[in-house]
Amino acid sequence: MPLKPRPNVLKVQLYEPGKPVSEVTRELGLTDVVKLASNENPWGPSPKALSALKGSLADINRYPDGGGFYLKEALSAKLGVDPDWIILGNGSDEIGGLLTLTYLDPGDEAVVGDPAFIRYAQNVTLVGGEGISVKLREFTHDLPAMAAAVTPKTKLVFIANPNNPTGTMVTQQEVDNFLHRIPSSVLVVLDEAYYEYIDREDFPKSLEILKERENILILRTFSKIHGLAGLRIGYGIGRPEVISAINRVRPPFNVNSVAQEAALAALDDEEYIEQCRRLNQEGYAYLTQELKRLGIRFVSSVANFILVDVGQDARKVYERLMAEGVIVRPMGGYGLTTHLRVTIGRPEENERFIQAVKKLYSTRA
Amino acid sequence: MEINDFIRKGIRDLKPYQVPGVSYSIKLDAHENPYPLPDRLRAKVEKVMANLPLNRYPDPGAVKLRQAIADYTGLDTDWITVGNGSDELIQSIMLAFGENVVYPEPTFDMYPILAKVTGLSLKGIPLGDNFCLDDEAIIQAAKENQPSLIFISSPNNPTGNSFPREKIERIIVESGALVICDEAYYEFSGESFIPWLAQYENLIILRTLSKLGLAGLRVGYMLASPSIIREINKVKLPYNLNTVSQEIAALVLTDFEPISSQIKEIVAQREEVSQCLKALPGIDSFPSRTNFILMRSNLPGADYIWSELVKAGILIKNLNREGALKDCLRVSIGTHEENAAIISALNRIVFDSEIV
Repeated sequence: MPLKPRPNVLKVQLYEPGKPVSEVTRELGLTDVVKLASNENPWGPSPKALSALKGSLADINRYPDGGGFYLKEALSAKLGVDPDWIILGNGSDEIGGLLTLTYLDPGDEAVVGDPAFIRYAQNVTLVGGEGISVKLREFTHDLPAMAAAVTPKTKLVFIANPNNPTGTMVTQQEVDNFLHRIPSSVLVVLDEAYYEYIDREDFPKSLEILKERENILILRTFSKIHGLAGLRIGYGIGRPEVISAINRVRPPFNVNSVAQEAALAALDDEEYIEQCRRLNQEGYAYLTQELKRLGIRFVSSVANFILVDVGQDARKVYERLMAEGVIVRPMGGYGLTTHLRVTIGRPEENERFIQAVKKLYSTRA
Repeated sequence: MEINDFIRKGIRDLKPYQVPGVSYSIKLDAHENPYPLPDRLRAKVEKVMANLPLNRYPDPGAVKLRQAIADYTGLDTDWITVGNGSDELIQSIMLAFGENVVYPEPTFDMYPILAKVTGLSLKGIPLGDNFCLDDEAIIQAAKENQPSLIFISSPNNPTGNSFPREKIERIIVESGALVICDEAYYEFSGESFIPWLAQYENLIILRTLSKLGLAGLRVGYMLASPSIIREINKVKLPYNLNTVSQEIAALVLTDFEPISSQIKEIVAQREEVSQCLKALPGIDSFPSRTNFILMRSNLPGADYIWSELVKAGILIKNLNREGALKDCLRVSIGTHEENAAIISALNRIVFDSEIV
């Protein structure tokens, strides 16, 4: 072996995704498996997206539109920003990686929450940057502490709002106060993957903030409420200077044509999005009520998942739930060894989870 | 200071990729398979698509697709990883193994572009007469810039020729570098380096389904020893390849005969187009083992021909720039009708230009 991987690569741990249903059915010989592990929309995509998808197959022999013209036009109309304020990615995760390639030289710093979405820090490490972790306070991004962690070497700050895996959000007021303390030479990334689920007056109006400040990048995705995680498509919204800088490192055909077509149709189906938001709220109300009844602690969430404190080695609980055919996500990788993250599913799926938890607790007692 | 003052040095001079803003009815600029998915495959695809859980993240291990690739290539699945097009895999190789990139030039533009993106140093070694490979100079450059990655596309884009196997083997054996053989056009040339994988640990092979009829789906794959594959898997996005692409690609590779027929037709068409181009005054064309042909026209000139073709509703790639590609154009092989249309348009253009 003549070549060794770069030292930065050796530091990166493989990302541990939620177990696919097929794998669990195969490994455990179960047939009826419920997956509440990856914060996916349990109701699937809009029927409009599915029919657009079918139509898109006629042209798969052609390269995708590298500029994503039609989807950017539609997003532009919806968001009230020009198309050159938008970049499309192979999931918003790709844009996170492109950002580090665009702005981080070895030794540069990026401030991230701890625990927050693990991929930010992985991307930073990969290009030789330093991820500066700032502990959450009450499971919420501690913005004053994050502002204090900014040094002259800081280029990026990642704020997942709401945060994954905790489900908590920071408010308009908190973000305003934070931004006043951040130099314009630092790009603040507001990852709003769960934006469409939010139903709170005090959630930051990030598009308005972006119009006032040049050092903001908003990330959103079609993987969550739009139900298109399987197609890999997300987008970033920022000032044209920032977008065009990231475009320099974006592979020209990064978003496949099928995803572009389906996303366009999904975006248009506002009624469906509204319905999914409402169903998610109902699922949240049910799950939190049952957890309270069982005396199990959890973190209040504004997203489509709940961080649950099982008060013991969560990995074991995870495995026992899996044996019952319920896949959730153990959070040991995030340093939360007694926590599970549970995605809000369909009513029958949520009930399966609660039944499995009850069974587990009763056998333990 | 503003945030863009901090754009990394290598990236500041990169230009965002621009698609030509012209209208056309015949598209022969991107080496796509001109035929739609054959009916038999189309029917299978529609059946599979009806039940795909698109709200779920894709299989990060791409188990089904990797098995299909294993059957197609004769390798074990742990020698295989898949990418969002070869572009992602090229970038991942660079991110994982750094630090110097050596390649013959002209070649696939993405090697130097992605080397700049990932902050690596790069060295292009000019091809010789008739675009022959200067193996000596490549080996030299790799030895002087260690550790090195050597990218060799064979057949080569945009020149269309294959390089002699013994030269490539010499590079693999003597350079001390990780050698990436890009076989994007393998199905059109029939030449593969797969048999060498067992023998040479420093060999990576790249393939793509973009030329075979799935360009819109962005499916590339990489073949290498499991120890290399493991490092690449750390670097690529965990959910890099979408579900639809995984499913359709697996289906196509498992039932490849309909695509094989299309490829045979494209190769036959290539030979025909090549003969027609030879008969045209003012245009020199180069031998091709791919699904495109490189041609040169000093008079009436590449720029003139390109814009006249656009007026006729035909888009090809204008490669005209100083150096080896001076006055060069590249045309993809299309359907019989599309090829006839461009040959007739070229005929008219060269005769109207009164160079003859």
